[in-house]
Amino acid sequence: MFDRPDVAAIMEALSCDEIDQLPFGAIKLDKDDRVVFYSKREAIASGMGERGQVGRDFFKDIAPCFATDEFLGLVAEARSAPDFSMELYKIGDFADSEAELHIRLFSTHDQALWMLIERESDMVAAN
Amino acid sequence: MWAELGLQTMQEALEALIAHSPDCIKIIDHDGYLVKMSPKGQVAMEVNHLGAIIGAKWHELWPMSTRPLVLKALDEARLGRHGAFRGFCPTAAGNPRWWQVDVSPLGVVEGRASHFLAVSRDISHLYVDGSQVETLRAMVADLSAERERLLEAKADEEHSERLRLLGRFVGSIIHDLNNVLAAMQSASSLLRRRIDDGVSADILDHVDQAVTYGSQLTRQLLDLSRRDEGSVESLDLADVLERDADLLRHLVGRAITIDFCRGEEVPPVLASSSRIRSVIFNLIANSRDAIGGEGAIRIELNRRTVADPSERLQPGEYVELSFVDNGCGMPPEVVARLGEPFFTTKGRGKGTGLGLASAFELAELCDGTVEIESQLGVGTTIRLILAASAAYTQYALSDNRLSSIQGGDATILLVEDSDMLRQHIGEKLKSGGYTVLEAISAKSAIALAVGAASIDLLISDLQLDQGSGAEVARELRNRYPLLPMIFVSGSVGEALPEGEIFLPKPVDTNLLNLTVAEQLGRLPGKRLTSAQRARSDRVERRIKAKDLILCFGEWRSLCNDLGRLPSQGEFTSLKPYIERSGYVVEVGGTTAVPVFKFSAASEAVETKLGRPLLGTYITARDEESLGSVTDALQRCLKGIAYHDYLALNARGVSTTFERIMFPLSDDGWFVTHIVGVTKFSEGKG
Repeated sequence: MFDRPDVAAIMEALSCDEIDQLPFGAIKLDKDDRVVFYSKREAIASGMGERGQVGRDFFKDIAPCFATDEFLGLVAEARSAPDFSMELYKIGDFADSEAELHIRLFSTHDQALWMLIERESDMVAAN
Repeated sequence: MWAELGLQTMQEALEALIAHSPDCIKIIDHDGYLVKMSPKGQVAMEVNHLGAIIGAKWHELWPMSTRPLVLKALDEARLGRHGAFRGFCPTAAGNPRWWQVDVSPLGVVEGRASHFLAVSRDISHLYVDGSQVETLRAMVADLSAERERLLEAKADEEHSERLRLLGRFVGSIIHDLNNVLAAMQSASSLLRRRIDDGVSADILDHVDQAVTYGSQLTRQLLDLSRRDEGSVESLDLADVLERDADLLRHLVGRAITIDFCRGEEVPPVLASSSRIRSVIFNLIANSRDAIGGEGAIRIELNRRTVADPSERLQPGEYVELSFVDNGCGMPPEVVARLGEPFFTTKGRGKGTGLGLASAFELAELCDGTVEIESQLGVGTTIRLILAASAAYTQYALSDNRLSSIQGGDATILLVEDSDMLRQHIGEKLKSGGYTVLEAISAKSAIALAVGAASIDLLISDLQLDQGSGAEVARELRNRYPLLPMIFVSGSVGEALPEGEIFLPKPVDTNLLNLTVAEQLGRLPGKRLTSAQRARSDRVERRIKAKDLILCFGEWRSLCNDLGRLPSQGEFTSLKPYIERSGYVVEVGGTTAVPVFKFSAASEAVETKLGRPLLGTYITARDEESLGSVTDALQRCLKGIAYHDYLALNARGVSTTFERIMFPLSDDGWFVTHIVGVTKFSEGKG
């Protein structure tokens, strides 16, 4: 499902409980980048704690490593486009500098943003 | 019927048959010994000296493979029946022949034959044509020579085994002999206190002299019988040669001169002193025998750096000990066989064929090899190449640099049953800033490992009072598959788990500190750990752009071949990647506070970023898309590659950016440069 092009529409159709059971993390931001949904899986994997992030500014309070002018500019400029999507591979997140992340971002019709995060378990770090 | 011809006619017929038949007609006695052979039979068998085979066991004149057939035919004849077989047997001159053999009993009385008639007919034409005979002849000659050699080798092996058993026996009684001598010495000393006459004192002097002589003899015997597995130590071969120079000159005699030549900065090797001395003496004795009269031997000691991996040597530092003589030299076919146990060119009783084999064995133990060059009539050069010891004393890091890579968040499990040694090593590690868990036995080590949050390195004695280092290694491998391990021991008699690092006791502190740092992956220019390689491998799977896959693949291959980070000079095909869309960052500053400076940047990268990069610095404040580039640089400083990728689709336009970054080491210790290669593309989505 993570790689499907229509994943944004599927996410919109799922309940919160169902999203919590997906094999990847999911975060939904409103048009002002405030967290409106933070999946249980992502809360645990990122080490941020359950649901405590809802209502907070994602780029400022939760993921400052993404809060670069260039990246925010890209997101701001593109999210209004109906076909906006972004895919990125990145190493290191807030909780674990060795975490290998595969991230997809999709805009919704109301300019909200779904962020899906797939983590490759870092067996070496666990070692 | 033939009998009707009468006995005389029959006897004449038989004599004519024996005299003129081209077959090989033989009389064998009841016990299987050859008694007679017909004159034409001698011709057929190409026997020049009949005396050499008359009286021999008939079946032993046949090759091993045919003997069962011979024995079976004889057994048939012993039962009063006709025995027959076809078999291969070369003639006495070594020519291949196949024979049809018929064996009949003679002089049968009460079912027991006194003799046998054996008639062998040459039927080789049924097996080979003329053109194959020469080939077969050569094969038979080779086989005969090989058989001779094997018999000699077997005899030598039996002799060696007897010597080994004798050595073991001597070793076992030496201590008893020493006790006897000690008792005699005590008795002599007691008696000396009670006597007051000179004659008795003189007698006791003789006793004391005898005891002293006896002690010397037992010590020498002990040296001789000691198994050659002496403790491994860091050896400066120049010292070894200097110490033994007089003995070596004595060994070769006055007619031969020995010159010693030593190169600059020859590192030590890790080996058993007794073993290496034994090899040196053997090789010098070989040179002496090859010279045979007046001549010269040159012993050269040099450092050899191997940059490219080969079948025999991995890249690294080596010590090259060469023995150059102007003796008779050897033909290529002999050189090819040198190193085979028991192969010797010397006469029987003069050489065991174990000298050069022991050199090969030592080289293998020391991750090295033996090179041989020889020319008939000119001389021979034998190079013993041994891996340099990891004793870094000659290339030591400054204390500041060393302390900067120690400690941190690394936890070391230390297993040593000697309280004193455990405390000593533990203190050294703790003073370096490491967290140390100490265990005195295999069981306690395994228990500590299970309870620990994480372990980054195991240091264990190989021989423990309870359990062994290998046992600890085995258990920990299940839990920590990539855990680096260092083993310490006073001898190499114990089995070392494959591929692990060994440090001899007493452990040199500087060597221990550097080995620990190396095993923790903090000296990636010296050695990459399995964990570092695994992390970089995972990066490789994510790369999408073909160019980047190729570039990264080359870097990975170099890392795998070298076992460490390559230098810029070793990554010769890097330049085009940099020129197309890459950059090089030079690492400066200190390990704690590194400074990054662009030492090369392609026009494409500078254009994309909109500023010149060459000569500029990256600081913690510099950020690019996908977060701070300094995170990526910090990861590369640990010897691990980095990768990131971004693909953006909006309003029908697709933009992708991909980047790999990987470290290089020009100083052979740390990361000195970090290379970035990027790929931009933009198009309709």
